[in-house]
Amino acid sequence: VNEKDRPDIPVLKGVRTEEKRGAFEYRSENVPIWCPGCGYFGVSHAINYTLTSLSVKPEDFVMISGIGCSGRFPGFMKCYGFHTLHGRPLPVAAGVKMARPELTVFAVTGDGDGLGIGGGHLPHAARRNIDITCILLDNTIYGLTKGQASPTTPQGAVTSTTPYGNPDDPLKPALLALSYGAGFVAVASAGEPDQMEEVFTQAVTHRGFSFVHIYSPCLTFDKKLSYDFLRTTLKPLPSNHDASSLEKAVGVALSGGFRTGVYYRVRRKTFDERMEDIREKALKTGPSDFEKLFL
Amino acid sequence: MTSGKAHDSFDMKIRACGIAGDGVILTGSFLVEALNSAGLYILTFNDYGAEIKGSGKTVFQVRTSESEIFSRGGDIDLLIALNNAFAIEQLGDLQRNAIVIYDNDVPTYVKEKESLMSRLSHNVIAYGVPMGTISSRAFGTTRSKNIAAVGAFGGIFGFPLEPFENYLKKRLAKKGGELVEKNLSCLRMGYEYGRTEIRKRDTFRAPRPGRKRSERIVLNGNESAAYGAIAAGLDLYAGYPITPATKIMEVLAKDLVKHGGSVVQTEDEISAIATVIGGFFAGKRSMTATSGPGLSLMTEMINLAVMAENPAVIINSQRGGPSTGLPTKSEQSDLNLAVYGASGDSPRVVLAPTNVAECFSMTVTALQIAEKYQLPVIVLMDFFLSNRQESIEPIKVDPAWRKSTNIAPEPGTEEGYLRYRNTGSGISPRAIPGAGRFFYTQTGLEHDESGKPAYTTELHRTGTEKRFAKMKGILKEGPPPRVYGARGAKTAVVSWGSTFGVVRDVQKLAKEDGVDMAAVKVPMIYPADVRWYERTLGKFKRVFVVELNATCQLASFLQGHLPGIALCKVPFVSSLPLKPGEVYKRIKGDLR
Repeated sequence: VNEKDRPDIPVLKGVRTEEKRGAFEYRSENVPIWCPGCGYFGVSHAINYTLTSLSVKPEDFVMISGIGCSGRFPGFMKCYGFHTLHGRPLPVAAGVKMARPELTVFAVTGDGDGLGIGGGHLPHAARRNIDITCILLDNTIYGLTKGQASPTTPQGAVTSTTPYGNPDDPLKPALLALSYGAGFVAVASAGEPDQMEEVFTQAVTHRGFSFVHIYSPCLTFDKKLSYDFLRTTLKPLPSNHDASSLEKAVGVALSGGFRTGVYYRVRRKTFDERMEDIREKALKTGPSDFEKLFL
Repeated sequence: MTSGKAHDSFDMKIRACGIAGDGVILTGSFLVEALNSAGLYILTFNDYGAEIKGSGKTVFQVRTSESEIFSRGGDIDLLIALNNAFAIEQLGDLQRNAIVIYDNDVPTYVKEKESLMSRLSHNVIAYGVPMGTISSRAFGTTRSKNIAAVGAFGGIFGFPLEPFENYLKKRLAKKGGELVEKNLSCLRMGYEYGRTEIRKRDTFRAPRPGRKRSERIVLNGNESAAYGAIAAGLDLYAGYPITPATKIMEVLAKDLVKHGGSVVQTEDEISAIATVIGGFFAGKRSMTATSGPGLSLMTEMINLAVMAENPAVIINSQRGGPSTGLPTKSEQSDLNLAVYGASGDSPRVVLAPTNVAECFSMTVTALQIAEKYQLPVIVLMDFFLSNRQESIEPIKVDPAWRKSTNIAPEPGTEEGYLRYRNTGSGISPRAIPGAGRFFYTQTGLEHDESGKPAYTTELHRTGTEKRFAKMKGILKEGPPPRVYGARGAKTAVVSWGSTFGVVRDVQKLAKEDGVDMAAVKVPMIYPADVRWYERTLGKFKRVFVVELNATCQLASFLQGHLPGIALCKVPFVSSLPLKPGEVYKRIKGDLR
């Protein structure tokens, strides 16, 4: 596919595409339906770059998504993708990983998908430490249904369903992930491909549940969260940030989360590893009842 | 079936009752194991309240027979009363000439009009056994009354002692010699008392033991389904606890990990079915089990499996509804939800085992069909089927059951691979992640053959036809409907699930009255073999459909396909599994 057919993506200006040509290996022939200027284009490129530099084969790569603008993600990638239901990418991705631990599995979700309708799954994917990368694309709005308030829409914001201002306080995604026990929590801006690539690379190589919160502008329905706003508001974590300290990570997340980088990274046994331990323990108790009855 | 006259074939419905501490459950499993190894057929029925323990009143019921058992039968033939006061509450369920074995040396004084004896009708045959005294002699306490009672049961009806002794030895093997000896001595004393001290006035005689030891195994429906799943190479079980399906997960949690699989208790039923869909997407057989409220939560995911053409297996053990309903009661009222529980036109497969052995075989079938046809398969069990124990013929597990039934694309066809290629059969070769460069994205949106979302009239029409085209192949592979005893019958009685066994017993009742009646089993509810029904049911003068739900959900479903045949609905709302007698009473007048 000729990359000239792609919509012009302002955010990618200056990216050295020539050097990362291999990344196009991960693109499907479907042209994204996202609006011009959508932050997801940048995220998509950063994922492709990450997979290229980590040499993850597309045939071993599974991307599970939910519903919303983020839900269409796998359709634009060359991978084994599944565009599932609203709010449900995490448990589907968990099933994939449980069945086939050798696959690289991404769950791509949005602020509405992952924190609204599907908010109940995040704690459990995190505490089970399922070795997948969860990317929460946060544009603080329901974009696909044309601009309604989401769980991360700021209080007071005017949207089509909150014409007099949003009465609800927004959630803090990184803080939630940390309190649910995620072993890897990071924040990045969709306007910074290099930053995303760095964070994604760490997320993919981290053994365990990795949660990445991406601030991503929706230029169509949310004029506030613009690239300019992100450039001026988001600051990298202080250079002396200790990613092994939950306290430090929670402190940053509590302060509003407008810091980018890897907040927290600790290695714990993954679900597969724990399941392997359980299998070993079970086998020590002797043959199964099934064997006694039928074999 | 009737009593009072000489029994040419041994068939006895036994109930044991008592309060906490009387050991009713142990008495039950003791009887089941011993009678099974003595070569008799077994079918148990436990009706317990919603919450564990509670009042402490416990009841255990088992029907045991020389010939195959289809239902729990009618009224009780024998009541083993471990607690006399509680036994009074059971008397209404006794048949006219029933037998009561009771403890005749109750240590506490009971007013005469409150005693069990004063409440028995004069037809009832009462056998007093000094259970407490026997237990005291063996143990020094009255706590093992139940062992004495089981011993007396064996002695009174002339069962061999050996299977009873073997059960105790097996059960207490880990506890050591002295306890085994005490229990055995208690059992033998009870047995001797029953054999020599009781003046037998009933007509039940234990059948003469066969030369061959019984090979049959005793399982309940939940265990059977769980073992069926292991036999079919289940790799991933995801579930959320819910009565009456929880036992399936408990069995798999213990066993599946020993066979290399994984078991996960998810945060809710939505996550459970999502995990199953993810597991199957990744190429491994996956399953969940639930009950009505859980199935309600799963409907959207099941619909995704239909549209995205992803395999999934859901066992749904029905309880009383609607809503949270009657968690520990039996009903067949989730058929509509299983068949129709979807937005859009959503073809799936709905199977309904009618006995414990079929819970095993249909779980195997469900996993095979789901994987091959890339759609959800719902197995409808019910509370009664889940919890009842049956003696079933040994199952020879075939390693071929584990073999993947997925039709994968040929190597070399990666270029231009279409995930949803229209092949005529409705099955598109499905590439498993990691198995080569066949890239695609499954979706719950309407899509073209490549999987790209598209909403044109033409694509929606061909897509719908494709998804329904699978039904043709499934009708050939799924368990077919069957008629039992059509010869001479003017009337057919159609039923499904655990009610089918009841209808088989109704058939016997009709036969005793000299009337032939055909029993029709529907093991696969959806898809329905309409031509078979037209051909088969069209021959009968009258067709009844008997169901344990208020609206006759199967009849309503079938009637839509069979405009030429009038189906007479025979609905029951009871919350308990049907008794053959009550069904027979309703249709008796119309059988000739």
